[in-house]
Amino acid sequence: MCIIGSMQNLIKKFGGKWVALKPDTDKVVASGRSANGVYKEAQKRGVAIPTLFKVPTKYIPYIG
Amino acid sequence: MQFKYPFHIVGNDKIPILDIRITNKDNNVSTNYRAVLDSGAFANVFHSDIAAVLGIDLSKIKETQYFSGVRKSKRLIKGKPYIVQLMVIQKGQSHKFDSYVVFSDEVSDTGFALLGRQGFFDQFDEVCFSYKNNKFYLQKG
Repeated sequence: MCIIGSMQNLIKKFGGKWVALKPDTDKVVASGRSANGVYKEAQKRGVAIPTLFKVPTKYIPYIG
Repeated sequence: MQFKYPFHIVGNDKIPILDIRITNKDNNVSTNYRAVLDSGAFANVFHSDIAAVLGIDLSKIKETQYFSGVRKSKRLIKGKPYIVQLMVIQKGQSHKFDSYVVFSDEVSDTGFALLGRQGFFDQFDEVCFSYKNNKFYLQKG
């Protein structure tokens, strides 16, 4: 399990990938290109309902 | 009940990000999903890969929802609408509701999933941003 402290670190390490996080934390339990794949991998690692997040490739200030 | 969150700080920006639970009521498959609270979005816009996780076959949905952003472009973004159950959970309390979601595979690689006005903001009595105090909250009842 990889413990990441901030959104910037998530972007730096996992930018462009899907990550499965332990709920209500930033602890990454699985990562990869497929949301379905990381979801199932997280469940194999004991997290029944992980938090999925598509990590941006870089942070660009957003308007909308 | 009130759900209170800190902003996520990225560089010089503060982003109102929260984790929600999505459930496909047709098969009871659930996932949590990290998304941005966006008063500028007309509705919830989620990545189409989340539909696959939930077992929703977007190719069977005939309706297409088109939307645009602030960019000067003639090309519209498109997605497939679906009704899912959303649930906000925090510290032993929860609020769940059926919600209109647009699943799109045209979400930018530098973007976030969006929780918008229809299907999220309209499910709470107050949605409050306290930027200076680095907090935002959702009030129900």
